[in-house]
Amino acid sequence: MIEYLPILLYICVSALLSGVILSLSFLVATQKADPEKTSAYECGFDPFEDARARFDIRFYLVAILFIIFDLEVTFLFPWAISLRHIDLFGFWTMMVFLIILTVGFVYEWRKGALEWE
Amino acid sequence: MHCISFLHCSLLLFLLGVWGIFFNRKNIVVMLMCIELMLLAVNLNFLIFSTYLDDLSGQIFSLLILTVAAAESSIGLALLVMYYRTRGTISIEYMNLLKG
Amino acid sequence: MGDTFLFFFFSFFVLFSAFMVIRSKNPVYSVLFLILVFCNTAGLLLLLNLDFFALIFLIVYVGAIAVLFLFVVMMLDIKLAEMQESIFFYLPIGGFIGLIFFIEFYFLFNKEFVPLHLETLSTGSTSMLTLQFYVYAFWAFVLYGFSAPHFAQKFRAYSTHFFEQLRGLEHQAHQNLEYVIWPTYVDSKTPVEALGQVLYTYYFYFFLVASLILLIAMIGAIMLTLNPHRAVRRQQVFEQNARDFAKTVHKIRTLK
Repeated sequence: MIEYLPILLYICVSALLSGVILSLSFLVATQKADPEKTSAYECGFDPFEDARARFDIRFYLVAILFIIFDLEVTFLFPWAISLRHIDLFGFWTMMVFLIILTVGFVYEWRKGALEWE
Repeated sequence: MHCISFLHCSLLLFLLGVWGIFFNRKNIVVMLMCIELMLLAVNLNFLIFSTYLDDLSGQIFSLLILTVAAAESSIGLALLVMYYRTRGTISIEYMNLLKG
Repeated sequence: MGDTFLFFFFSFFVLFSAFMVIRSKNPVYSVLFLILVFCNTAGLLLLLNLDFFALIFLIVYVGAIAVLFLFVVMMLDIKLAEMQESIFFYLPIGGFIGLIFFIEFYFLFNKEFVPLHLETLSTGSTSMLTLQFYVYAFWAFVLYGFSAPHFAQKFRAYSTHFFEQLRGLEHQAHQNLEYVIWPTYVDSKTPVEALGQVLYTYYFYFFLVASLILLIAMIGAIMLTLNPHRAVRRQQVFEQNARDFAKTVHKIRTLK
């Protein structure tokens, strides 16, 4: 497990750094809250609805496309490493895989799922 | 490490997934997450056995299950979005009214 | 020692956050705990020496699937009041099924794995010990009865002896259960390389079926979510630039 020591150090340092930044901004800043200060500002008003805004459906389509190509890249990693040993057969297997996925990509493109206004 | 402790961990993960489906009858998002948990437990099981039995086919099936899990979650969430559009809620009590 | 600590650390957080996925009221928290489950599972896989799979889990599960869940939760904007439900309404059936499941697996583990190792290693001496124990207890009961101090003393001595021997056998079994990764001795191929050599040649039909599954997922999601009736208003740069100002603005004569 010793080869993962840099990752552990990285996690520790990043946790420490984020904790220090958070706590410093909490500790150093002068905090004198009064009702006048925390209320809505001059011409502002209380929010009408939840701060959680609804996303458009097209973000979801882009996310699905991202999942599909993420998995495609996942399958490409072992292929790229072992391409020396698997000859032309493995090469063409991967090509068929890519062609099948490209069919879906072309379909999505022609259907207009990637159109943005 | 003994192989059985890993197996116990994945078994309990699967069990939590099953229980989550039974306890969250109103929220389909959490039910889909529980299916995801169950698939994760199955995946973990394949990988544990592939390590301890020294066999590669477990890892290959783990990759395929990963694919199926991604496809399942994307189609399931798409169905969920459509259901929310038609009914304005995501509780599954009246989902059987959708047919016909 | 360090491995054991790390295993318990990761598995505790896996199970704890899986529990919180189920029980948290807000679906956004559920998704965040789901991400924690995936990260800790990646840690468990690192303990199993499957570093490629640990990173793949992080990339696919955390980077793609959990983000998709988060998108949907944010998109649907579920009211929190809708999530209030009776916790224990489905407890009887869920608890019953869970109990059956758990007992089944407990017996499976108990019967299939542990005694198998013990018996193959010690050639049946565990069952012999158990048999001896029962026979001795029966005869002692017949001869002395429970009240005799003689029996209690002998019983205690024998049971400590029995459990010590059993523990010795278990210790031996645990020592012999360490596995050897033979491919590292035979040739120096990395696990990913070995995986690639099998996946794209011997199991290529599984691989192509995986691509078809991905295709179906893509097309199905587009068919379901894309609304055909809503026209997308795109910016027509050329038309807008080529438009003649004199022709577009009219003065409409109004009636007096």
